[in-house]
Amino acid sequence: MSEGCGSLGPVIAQDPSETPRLDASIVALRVVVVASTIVAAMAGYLGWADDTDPAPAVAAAVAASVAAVGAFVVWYLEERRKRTLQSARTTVAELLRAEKIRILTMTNGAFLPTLSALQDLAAMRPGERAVEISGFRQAVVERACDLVKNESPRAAYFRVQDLSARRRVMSPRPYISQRARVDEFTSQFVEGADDEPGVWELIDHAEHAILREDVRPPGKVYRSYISAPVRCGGIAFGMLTLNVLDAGGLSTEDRDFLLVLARVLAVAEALTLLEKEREASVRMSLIRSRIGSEGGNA
Amino acid sequence: MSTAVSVSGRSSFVNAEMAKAHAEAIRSVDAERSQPPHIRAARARALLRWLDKTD
Repeated sequence: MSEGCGSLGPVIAQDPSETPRLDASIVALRVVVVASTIVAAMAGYLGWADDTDPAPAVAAAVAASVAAVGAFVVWYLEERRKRTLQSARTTVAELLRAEKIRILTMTNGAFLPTLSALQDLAAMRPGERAVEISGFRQAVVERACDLVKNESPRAAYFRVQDLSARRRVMSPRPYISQRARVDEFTSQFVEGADDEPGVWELIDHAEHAILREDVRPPGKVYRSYISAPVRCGGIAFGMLTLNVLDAGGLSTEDRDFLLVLARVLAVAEALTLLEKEREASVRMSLIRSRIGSEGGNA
Repeated sequence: MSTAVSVSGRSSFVNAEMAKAHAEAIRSVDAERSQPPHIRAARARALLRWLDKTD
């Protein structure tokens, strides 16, 4: 589905830090203009008083020329200064408009519909929830992909396949969403393997989402990413993650928005869990944290 | 020196509800801009007061 940007186009801002330099130049040139005018007047008077000597008349003409050129340059620099400030004001106004649009879009397009879907899920019978949760997961991933201020985002929900397994495996499929990207997500994470031990620490213990900028993971083309734990009641369901191709392409707002979606998703996952699954998951979480704690004390 | 700033940063959405919300948000923000100056000034003052109180 495509939605045009309307009147929002790129704004080219002249650097407002240029204005102090312009101010200094304008002041200096005004001094030159005033001095030249005084010299021209004095030389003109001397030339008028003594019309046998051509030097004062020549000096008056030169000084008057310098004053005229100086006045023209002062006028030009003042115009340039006005344009610079106007451009900076326009940029600020457009950015403010963009931020407002983004807040409204996130609130009405992501958070409220996701919470409504969560309410619907909560009102369902357990069997119905098990059917509906799949669509809920995919909608969250799509909204995660849409929430970032970037042209080439890719989001996925890496979901723990068996919560009660001793050695957990997380795979992003089928919950992937992307725009203008052809590269692939890591196919899966296996607990205990050396590839990415940080992801298990993230989903088991992290309270917040992480934002990494200007990364260069081997074999990958993305340069920034955010990962948020999907965990509820001590049960780690997985990780909501998104990445973009450019360094600095994600912001702290993107990180916090993603965390909100991850926490809503975690509640939906917890609601959907059957009692037997919950008990097995909690039991395994306790074993895992005991092993971690003993390992830490060793 | 010039700095390019993209104020929208997107041309499409994956999720249809996001796209709809985006279009409505543009309409809403532009409608707010057409409010009389005293209304906009009052809202700006309210926002600034709110910011001060959260420090």
